[in-house]
Amino acid sequence: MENRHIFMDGNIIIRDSTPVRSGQESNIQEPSLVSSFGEEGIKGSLKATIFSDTMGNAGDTGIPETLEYKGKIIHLCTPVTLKEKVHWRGQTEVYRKLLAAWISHSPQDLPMNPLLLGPSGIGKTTLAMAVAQSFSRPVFMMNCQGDMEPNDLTVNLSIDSEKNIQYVASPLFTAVYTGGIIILDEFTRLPPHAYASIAPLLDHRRYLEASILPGLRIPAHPEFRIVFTSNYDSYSGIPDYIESRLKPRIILENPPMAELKSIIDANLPSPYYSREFKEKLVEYLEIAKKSSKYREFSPRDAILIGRLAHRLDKIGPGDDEGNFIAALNMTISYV
Amino acid sequence: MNISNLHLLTYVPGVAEHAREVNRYIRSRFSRKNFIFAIDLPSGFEETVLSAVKKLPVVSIILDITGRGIPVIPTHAPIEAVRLYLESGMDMHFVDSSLPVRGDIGEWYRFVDIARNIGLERVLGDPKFYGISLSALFGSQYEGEGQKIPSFIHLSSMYRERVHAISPLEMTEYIDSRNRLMAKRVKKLIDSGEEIVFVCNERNALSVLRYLEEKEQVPFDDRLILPTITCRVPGRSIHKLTQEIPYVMYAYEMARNGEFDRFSILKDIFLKARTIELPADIEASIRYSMKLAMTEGQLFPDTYLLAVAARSIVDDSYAKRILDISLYYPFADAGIHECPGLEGYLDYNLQRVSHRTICLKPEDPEQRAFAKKKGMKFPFIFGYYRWVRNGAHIETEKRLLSFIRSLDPFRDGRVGHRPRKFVSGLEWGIDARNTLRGRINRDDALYVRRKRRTSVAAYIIDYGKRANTKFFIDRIIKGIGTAWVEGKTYTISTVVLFPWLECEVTDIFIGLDTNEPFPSSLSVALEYAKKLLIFSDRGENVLCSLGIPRNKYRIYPLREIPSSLLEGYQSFTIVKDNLKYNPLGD
Repeated sequence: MENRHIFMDGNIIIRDSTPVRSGQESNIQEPSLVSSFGEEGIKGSLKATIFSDTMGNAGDTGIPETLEYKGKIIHLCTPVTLKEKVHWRGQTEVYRKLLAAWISHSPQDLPMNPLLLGPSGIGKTTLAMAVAQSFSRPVFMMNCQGDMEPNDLTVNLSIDSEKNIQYVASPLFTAVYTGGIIILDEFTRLPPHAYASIAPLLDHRRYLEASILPGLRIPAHPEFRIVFTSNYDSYSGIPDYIESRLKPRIILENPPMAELKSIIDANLPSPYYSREFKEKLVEYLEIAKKSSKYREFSPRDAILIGRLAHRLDKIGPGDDEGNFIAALNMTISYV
Repeated sequence: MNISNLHLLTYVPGVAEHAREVNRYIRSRFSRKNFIFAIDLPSGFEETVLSAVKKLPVVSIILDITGRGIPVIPTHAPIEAVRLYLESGMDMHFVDSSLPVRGDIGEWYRFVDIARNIGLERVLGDPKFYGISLSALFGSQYEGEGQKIPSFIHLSSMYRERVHAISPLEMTEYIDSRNRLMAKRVKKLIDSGEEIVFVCNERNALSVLRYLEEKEQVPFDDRLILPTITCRVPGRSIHKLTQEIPYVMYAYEMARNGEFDRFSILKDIFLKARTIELPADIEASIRYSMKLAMTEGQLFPDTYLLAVAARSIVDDSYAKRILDISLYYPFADAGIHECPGLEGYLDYNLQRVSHRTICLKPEDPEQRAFAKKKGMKFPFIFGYYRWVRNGAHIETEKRLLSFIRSLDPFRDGRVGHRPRKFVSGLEWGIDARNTLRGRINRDDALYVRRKRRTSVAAYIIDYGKRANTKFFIDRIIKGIGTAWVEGKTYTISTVVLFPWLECEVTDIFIGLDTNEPFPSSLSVALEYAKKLLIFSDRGENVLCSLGIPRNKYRIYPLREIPSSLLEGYQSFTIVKDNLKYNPLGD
């Protein structure tokens, strides 16, 4: 990753180093800074550790651990770490829709801010992860909560064991700065006043301001991408000025049975789950789909039913039918 | 072999850029020079094709009795070539074959007969069932897969050769025979020494060129020219003929010899469909449609992608208007009946025009106006249906309300007045507003103001149970709630009853949250009522933590309600379901 110098409203020293291998520390030469605020924030040589083993080969790109602003150290976030690549099965069209929203062929062609809408367990987050991985950029994730404040989305304060104040960057801030991909999961849980802090990030201005450090304004890295996910139920409560920025809306629906089979096949790996077991599972799911006793089930439910039935079989083997029905009852029955 | 007098123009069927290229090539190079057109249309169909082309811009399709078709549309390169022939008067030869027969011609007749009666695609899909040996006829097994659209179809042939390796079609004996036949005929024309302009489908071009070099010719019989019918295609079905956007076909036809800029035409579609959409949204829709096309390996979007982009960026109504304009082709007949055999026809390479489906739910303008009036978001992304609950529950509700009203400290609050037709006594004075409004509507009655004698509170009953759905009631009293639904039985989790509510409950019940029934009930209730009368066992701490001022509510434990009412009201069953109308008739 190349050093980036940000000359907005203050000094930012970037701790960054391409030649360093993951896990090592290195001395980085102080980058030359031109600033309207003078040089009081510039320190001597800096140390950085590059995170490794992240999604999308982030280890190759190198994520800085901290950055310094006017003498204050801001601790950046770690990207999501996954051992295996996330695969998206079926529904290729939604995959392409998300991919299209993130494609940018020139600096003037800004990437869009897609919103994934769909019922729980349909695979919104999985889709976002799968597409994000194809961009070979570090992936960050934020699970939004109702009690989050604007600072939780940018830079917040925390106190360490020695009672020192620390500035901690949110995953969103880190992604904006490092050119990562951020998945804001269930973002409609955010309180209305928290949305305001991300509004300029979602239009042509493309920057993020940390109100806790006045003057700190981070322009989004050209590789920065964002995606929002939400359930249908909670989507109605977001303010208009945010809703108008969340384009395109990509709606996910329950996959047809053939695609569900492929999802089950991928998530219940052989040989632990036998082919016969998976075929039977699909049979029972087809029965459940037609029965009024059971609610509509998502791919997540289907996988859970499979796992549960398999576990029940391990505990009391012999009655396959009983195990499948018990798993269905425990997972998607109206009772 | 010397083929310096051969000018090969390859095309992707139906794509305007390729028809345009044929037009420009002929006009720029052969405006004052003699040449011969060699076109990959079946020999023997000349009269039929010429007759259909003369009727352009009215579009039609020539279908043979096996179900294969030639679309006669302005943007089809061979059709453009035929039009140029008619305009220039140069020589023209159709070099393809109707059916290039190898082997037993009787078996071919049987195949044709079955294909005519059953349908070509079905016969090709399951030949054994119909007693047809495709390997005997075509030399190899036909694999009936859907058409795979080649990438970058909008690039003209000279660029496509550089960026896109044209892979020849899976070489069945049928295709192979046609290509050999075409090569033989083109070779004969080349030998005449004239300049030859060969318009050929890009799927066959490489193979035909290869056979031009061959010295030994395989014998075949091309006497089998199948009977055809020509159908005029109604406007609503033009998209079934070709992958091309009908509006682009129209734009091409309007400026056939002038400039053709697909991007401007697509922009035109987005702008023409605009009503209240913001310019930024239009721009984003265009951009997104281009990016979607890019993910499919194309330079420009097709009709489907235009609608998908409009739907994702704006809404279904805009997408519907985009679709309407995209499918607009004014030269087609509006009133003629559907052309038989048009649905799923195959071209002479046995390829089908692929279709994709998009389900749009355009909004009702009245609904939008209603939402605007109520200050609600639109389009709604929820729906509801009506049902009728059991009578016992309605009776219990009446008694419950009567009981709660007896506890209500917020009754007779100062919430204003309601108009009433004057009978005797002026009550709280003349209601000038409603009297005047009545006069406008030719109602001469005098309206007086009567004090509203209802509560300003909302009644909340919190059973503290789980919920998986939201419901509303509007019969005895207006109310909303969350419940656990099992079959046709609703077990109430929370319910908010409004003795007085200005808007409709269908407008507000979306505000409930099944994950947090009680807090969301409180939030909705406070939005539409000044006070709250709460029956819950959760205690005041919950209300304090939610920041509700003490003077806004009274809270009672559930045991304050007689158990017969409380338990009787907790669940109800649906006796009539899925009603699309209001059972009350209002």
